[in-house]
Amino acid sequence: MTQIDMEKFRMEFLEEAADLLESANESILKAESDGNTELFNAVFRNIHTIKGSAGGFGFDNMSEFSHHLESLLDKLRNGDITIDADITDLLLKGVDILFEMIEYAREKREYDRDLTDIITLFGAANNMKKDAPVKAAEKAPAAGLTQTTEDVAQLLKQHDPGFGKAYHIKMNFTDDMLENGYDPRTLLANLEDISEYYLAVTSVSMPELSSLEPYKLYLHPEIYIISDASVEEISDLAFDPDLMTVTEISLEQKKAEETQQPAIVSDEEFTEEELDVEKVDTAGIQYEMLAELASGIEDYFESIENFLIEIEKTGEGTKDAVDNIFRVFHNIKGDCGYVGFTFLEKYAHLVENMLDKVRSGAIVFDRKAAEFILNVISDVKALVKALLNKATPELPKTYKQLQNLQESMLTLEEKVPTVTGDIKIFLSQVDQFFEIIGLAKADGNNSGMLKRAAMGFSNAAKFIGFTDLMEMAQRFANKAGSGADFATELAEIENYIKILKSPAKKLGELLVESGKVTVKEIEAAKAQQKKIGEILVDQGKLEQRDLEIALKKQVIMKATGAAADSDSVSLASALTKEEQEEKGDSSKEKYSQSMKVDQEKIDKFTNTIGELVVAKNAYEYMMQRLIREFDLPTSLIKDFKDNSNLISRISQDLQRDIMSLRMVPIKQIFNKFPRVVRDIARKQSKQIDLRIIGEDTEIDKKIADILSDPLVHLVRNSCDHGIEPPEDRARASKLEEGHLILKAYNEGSFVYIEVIDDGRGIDPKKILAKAIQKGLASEDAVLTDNEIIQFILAPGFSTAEQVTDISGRGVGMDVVKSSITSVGGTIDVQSSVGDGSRVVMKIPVTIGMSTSLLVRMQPNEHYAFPIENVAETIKVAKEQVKDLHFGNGIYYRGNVLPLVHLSKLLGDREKDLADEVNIVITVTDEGKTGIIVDELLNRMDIAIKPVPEYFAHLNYIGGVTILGDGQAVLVLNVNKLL
Amino acid sequence: MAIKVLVIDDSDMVRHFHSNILKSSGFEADGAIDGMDALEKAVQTNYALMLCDLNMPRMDGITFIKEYRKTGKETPIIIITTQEELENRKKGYESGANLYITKPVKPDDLILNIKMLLGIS
Repeated sequence: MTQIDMEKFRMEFLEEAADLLESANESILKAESDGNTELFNAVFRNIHTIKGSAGGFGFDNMSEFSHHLESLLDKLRNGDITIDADITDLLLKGVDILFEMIEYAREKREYDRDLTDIITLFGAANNMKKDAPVKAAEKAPAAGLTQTTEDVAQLLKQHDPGFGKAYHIKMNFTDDMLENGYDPRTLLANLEDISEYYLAVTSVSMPELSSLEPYKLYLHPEIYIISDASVEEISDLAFDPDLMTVTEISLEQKKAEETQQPAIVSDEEFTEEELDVEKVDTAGIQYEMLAELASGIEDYFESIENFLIEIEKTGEGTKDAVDNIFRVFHNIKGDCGYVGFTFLEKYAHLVENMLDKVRSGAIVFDRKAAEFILNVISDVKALVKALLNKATPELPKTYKQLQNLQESMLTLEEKVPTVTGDIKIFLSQVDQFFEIIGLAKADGNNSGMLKRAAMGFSNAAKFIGFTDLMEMAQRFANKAGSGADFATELAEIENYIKILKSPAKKLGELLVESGKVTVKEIEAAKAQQKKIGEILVDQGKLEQRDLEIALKKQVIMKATGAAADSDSVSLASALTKEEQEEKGDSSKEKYSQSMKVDQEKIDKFTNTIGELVVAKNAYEYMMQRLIREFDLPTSLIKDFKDNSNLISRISQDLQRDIMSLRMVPIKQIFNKFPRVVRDIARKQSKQIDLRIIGEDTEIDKKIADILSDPLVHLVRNSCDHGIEPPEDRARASKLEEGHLILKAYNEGSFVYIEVIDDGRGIDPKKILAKAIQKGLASEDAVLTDNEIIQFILAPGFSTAEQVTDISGRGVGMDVVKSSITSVGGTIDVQSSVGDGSRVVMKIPVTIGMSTSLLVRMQPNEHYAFPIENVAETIKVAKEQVKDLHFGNGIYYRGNVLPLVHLSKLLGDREKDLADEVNIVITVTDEGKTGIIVDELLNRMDIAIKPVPEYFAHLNYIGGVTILGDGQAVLVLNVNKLL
Repeated sequence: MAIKVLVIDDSDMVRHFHSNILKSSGFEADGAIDGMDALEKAVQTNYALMLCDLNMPRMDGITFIKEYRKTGKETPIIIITTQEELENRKKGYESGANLYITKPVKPDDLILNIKMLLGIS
């Protein structure tokens, strides 16, 4: 009985497996044609299912074979291997074999075909590095170096980043070494780390898992790398030079280039000017991916510009700032490699090299460096922009400067030997000696151990050149040797080491601390503006030897930051390490995890939820009808209502969530302003202090995008026209430094953004004169200053005495205004001559979804008022409506409230008032107004759709929505209505 | 005169490596295959320093160091092992070792450690 059942399941499985393979086949073909790696996930799952189930039904061969396919797919979906025609063939072949196996199994035949060849191919493909073609690996088994050299040379040439040298590395690891803890993987990983390009060619001859010996080395790879490290540096990666044979190999292509270049320079036909316009090599760039690269680069730069400006101001780069800047250029380098933009890759590499020197403490990141990086950023942006326009950009000036810097740093390096190696060892030994002393104390002051530790201190100090520490160790040894109390001596040493591990101090402080010189002498030396040490030695205040010790201490202090990161384990440092780890964690928390989602997808999602809201309203409407028209039992009605409420709640939650998804901190647009302001200030030699307030205020991404340009315009205007040059400011007895405030805050469902400056302000007289000249105002009009100032928002208005390249030609302010109003916002300009100006923008937090008040006009005509504009609704008797001479009005809360009939506003004739008058009291920028409607309906959530084109000229319509019963409703723009 | 170092390790490979590293930095190197062997050699020759493995047949590193220190000699001994455990390290110090290094160690670091412990530049 069970036999039969099992058979049935087996057959079912085979059918299912065939289906899975069918879909796998499709996905593989699709993936090849459009390169969508997502698809491999699906294929991987298909094959994985087959692998898992096949074993259970006794189809071991199928399970085994699927495994090979699965491993390859895993690499593909992780992006370790890129898909090409060869791999596709291999995958399809694999699927075919599985099909074949299923066929055999259906006919209950034993699968007897030899799969060794294809399995070898899978193995080879699996061991391939990204981008390495299958062919090289296919040939690899049993193939000697000579056979692969051509392929390898080809690959190396292809991936030549333009710097560094190519090396061939032969590994001489034996099984014995693996047994003793010398795992070649560490070395391989290190090699890969220092390489720009890394290629491992290996023969695949792995035994079955069951006969695998854990301490046997099966793979003996031949490594080819391109790196800017020297042969010595590479050899140093191994703990024994015998482990690797490193030989430099030449890339013919590279050589040709090198010999060509001097030829160009020496060629007299090339004048210097011509050399100046050297073009950037654009060969190999995948243009279709450039836009993505450009936006990525833009984002990267934005994230660090503030650091740079900060450094430029304070003249000091924190470790965090430098690390961030380094990371950005490192990322750019990587991205460029991906897009095939070799030049920028090289460029970023040079910047990275420079920053690396900063990180190692060899050079200091100062104001100049920050300015330089800012220039680099401008150059890179220009470079990418030119490329996007399909132009061939010129070689940036900063690139050449970087090249020169690189060279001078290399020569500098030769002069200054690095001491970090010594320091690391010194500190780790010192820690051990403290451990030994600790143990000795616990062991009744074990004299042997104390002596050893003392000797250790003394010798290590001698090696590093700290004669003072040596003396301390000597004193400690004497006390400990004679069995006396050594607490003071030990404390002295501990203190000495503690100071060493503390952050770097100024040389002067160190000298004073060691008691060699006094503070006064330092002050005197400082006054002479030479290097403190030299002066003191010159004056005989200090012995050369003491100075050297102090200098060395200074180097150690600078380096301890780096040394603390090293992985030496010690009892004494365990605690401090833990502290550091804690710090690390908290700094990690600052970055929230995020993923990039196509804005279109979010928009689509928003729309769908909008439709859900409509459908929910329809549901409510139908429910009402059911209740009204049929005599339903109360319990059923209650259930209906409960369910309806539930749906309401869920759709509201959904709505809220999607809205929060769309929200971005306004930081995203504020971030670029420090740079904008700085550039203008520099160009016009003004001093401007920019304050940003409320940068965490959230706003709809779409609105943020629309606001970005208008804000730039406003900020530029303030810097350019508003804030005066320092001389003018001084004359007006203002601070020479101008102030600009960018402020954002929430109020209700609006975000307020203000641009405030303390510049010269807007002169109403000038504006009025201009407005009259432009025909915007009549000469006899009586206008308040504030009304006059609003003219600058009118189209075609410009008061700047001369057009500058910064704030353009005055076409801006009206564009700013129309951008703001297009998202349903308002803009207001306030200014006072001599004191500055303030532009206030009031912008809805989000677009698309809103709560509205529904009203009825005529027998069957509905309109919606956005709830933001509704203060209150009231019903009054006809008699209460008074006829004021300019229209109707009522007495409302101690004031006269003007009343207008909606039908009149909509261009219809004015209707007679009903006995009971329904009034919507609206709030607009102009104040409160009562609008008479026929009937007040309910308030509801609606999804506002944009105004159809044929309504677009009617500016009092803010949007359209659809009611539950399918009726279209116009959403009124109350500001425009009145 | 070259400085003599005794490399105590039961693995031919490790002895070969460490000797190579030492020789390339101007030291002279001898090898001992375990504690017993080392004890014999250390009595015959005056070494400047010893590199000692922990796990060895016949006599392990800790026992060797204890036995050796009993002779009253204070030649610096560096334990060099794959065992990272704190407990072993403590045992090492208590037996009379001067320094404890975990394998693998870069040749430069090994030489620096030796030079520093001997106080020579």
